[in-house]
Amino acid sequence: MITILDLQTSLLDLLHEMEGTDIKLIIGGGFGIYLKTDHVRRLGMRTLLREWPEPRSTNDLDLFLRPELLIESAKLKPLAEAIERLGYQVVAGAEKYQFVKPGPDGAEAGSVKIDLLTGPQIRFHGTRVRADARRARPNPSVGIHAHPVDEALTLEEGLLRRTLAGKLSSGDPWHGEVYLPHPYTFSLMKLFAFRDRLDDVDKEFGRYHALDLYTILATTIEGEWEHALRLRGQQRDQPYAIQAGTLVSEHFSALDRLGMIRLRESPYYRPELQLDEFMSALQEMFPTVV
Amino acid sequence: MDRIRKLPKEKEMMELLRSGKVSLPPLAFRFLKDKPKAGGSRRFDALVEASWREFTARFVMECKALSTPKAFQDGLNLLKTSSLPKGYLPMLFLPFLGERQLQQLELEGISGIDMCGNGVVAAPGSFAVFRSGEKNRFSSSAPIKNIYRKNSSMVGRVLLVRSGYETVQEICAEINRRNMLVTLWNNRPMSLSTVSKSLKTLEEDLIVERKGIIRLLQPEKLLEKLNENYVPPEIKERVRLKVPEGSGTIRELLLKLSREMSVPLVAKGTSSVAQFAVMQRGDVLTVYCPRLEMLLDRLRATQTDRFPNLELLETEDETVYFDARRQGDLWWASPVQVYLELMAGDKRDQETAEQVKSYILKDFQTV
Repeated sequence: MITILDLQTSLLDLLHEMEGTDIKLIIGGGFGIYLKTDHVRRLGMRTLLREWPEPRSTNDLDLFLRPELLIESAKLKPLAEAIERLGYQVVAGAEKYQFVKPGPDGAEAGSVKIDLLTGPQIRFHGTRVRADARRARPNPSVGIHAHPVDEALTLEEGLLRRTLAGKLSSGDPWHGEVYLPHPYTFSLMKLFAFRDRLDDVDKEFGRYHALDLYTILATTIEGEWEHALRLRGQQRDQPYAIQAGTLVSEHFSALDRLGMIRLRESPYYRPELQLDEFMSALQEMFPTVV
Repeated sequence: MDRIRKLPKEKEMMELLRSGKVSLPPLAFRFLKDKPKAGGSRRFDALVEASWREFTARFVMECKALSTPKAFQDGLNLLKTSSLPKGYLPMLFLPFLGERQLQQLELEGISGIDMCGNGVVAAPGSFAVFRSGEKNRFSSSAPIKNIYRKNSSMVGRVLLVRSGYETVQEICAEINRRNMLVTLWNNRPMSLSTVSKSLKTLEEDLIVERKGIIRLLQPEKLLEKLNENYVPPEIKERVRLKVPEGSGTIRELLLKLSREMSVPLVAKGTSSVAQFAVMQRGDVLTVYCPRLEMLLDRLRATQTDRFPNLELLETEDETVYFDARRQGDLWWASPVQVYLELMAGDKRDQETAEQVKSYILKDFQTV
């Protein structure tokens, strides 16, 4: 058998290489949800819902960079250097914002991917960063770009700090800090990801996004919920927040709506999942604007 | 007994028993009770009484409507590992019992009767009857229906471990060597004829060629076929547990119990992913086990759905134990089993399955 590194080890390697810099990595995607679930479970925290599906993440590390890092691009240099030193290679067609580190002997098995993402394009207006729907390009260039996520309006709000402790790929123990998006931000992103995959047979009609949305709400702790309601008030006039309310109303407001059907179609759906409470919380977080 | 050619259903077999139409001269059988408890949620099929002159003995009966090696082994294992009601002896009831099966039953101290007039029934101190030689009235010479599914899929699976073999015998030996239910659980080994039939279909499907050596031609196509025809194992019982991790890890504990009790314990494919691919999953370890009851007696664990750390699945599906790999302190599912379980999952699982596929195929040159 080969030795396969896990995502946490790969992330610790990256943090280790950037030791002493002030780059804060925000972990999104499936691994972010995994880390959040693991966090509340370990600490035995009271959460919005009792029943969660099994958290799972593929080999992708979705690293969100705070827009200020791209605006002051010199601060990003240690990340670019770390990615290179650790043997990550560019992904053709997504150069500078997607990287892959092949598995043992250069194989696909055991490979780890990095996606660099950032907040909405609007955050770069009036700065030297050249941003379009696909890329935010720091100026002066440091060799990395990031993909803007326009619905991540509140990317830097209410981040959850988590200390990761484990081993580096060298076997040495190490710990480092990462940040997890607030459930409001995470839910917004997942709602739009679901919308984009709703009719995509190759992406399983977004079933896993619907399930992720449930997990994000389910693992929300009390303080985060209160914060979410404040964010709801602050964002109520933002077009993305309004659209999120419409998406929830269309797809997640009753068991016979498509989002709830997709969720129940997932192989990881269990009858114990608290669907009524989930729909109610989601509608409260993203109300329909009349 | 009536001359029945069609394979009987279990219900029909029990009806014949109930109406006194099953016998093994000079013994007669009397039906006593339907579906007695066998521990946990399991039930035996009947309680019966065998009599000869003034002697009587009572038996707990397990009935199987098939005479396949698997059905025989399943019934035998159940009777061997279950606790019986006081004063009762174990008995297996199949449509047909061959000479070798009767001998095995005798060796194990378990009685067995069939619907063709064969049987071995022993009640120490009262009577002992051994009768064989009656023909199987329910035999089938049909080809294997689907060689990419269930036990016969192990022929394809073993070709994904090593692509070339000298003889059919070599393949057969390799399959049985890698089958933990054969090596540890006394399941009947796969027969040469099953291997041979499966190879014939693989050859017809242009997946294998037999020119001197038996060689796998299209590993990717074979993997596709296994995936298209995959059916998840039949899970008889599922228990979620919280095991205290005081004196060692759960994995160490399971390995120790597996050794001490000679019970094969293999992590489920989805719990074994990290051995072959990068995927982060929840930390409930899910393990296949052929008989839960035995293990639960030895595990000091609480059954709970709240933050369990171990899930045990009872199954005698041989494929999940086949080609398990020992790494560190546990037996992990084979890469093929991991691949098939992931492919049966959602998009996220299927994406990860691609990594496992590349692991399986890395040493093959496809044509």
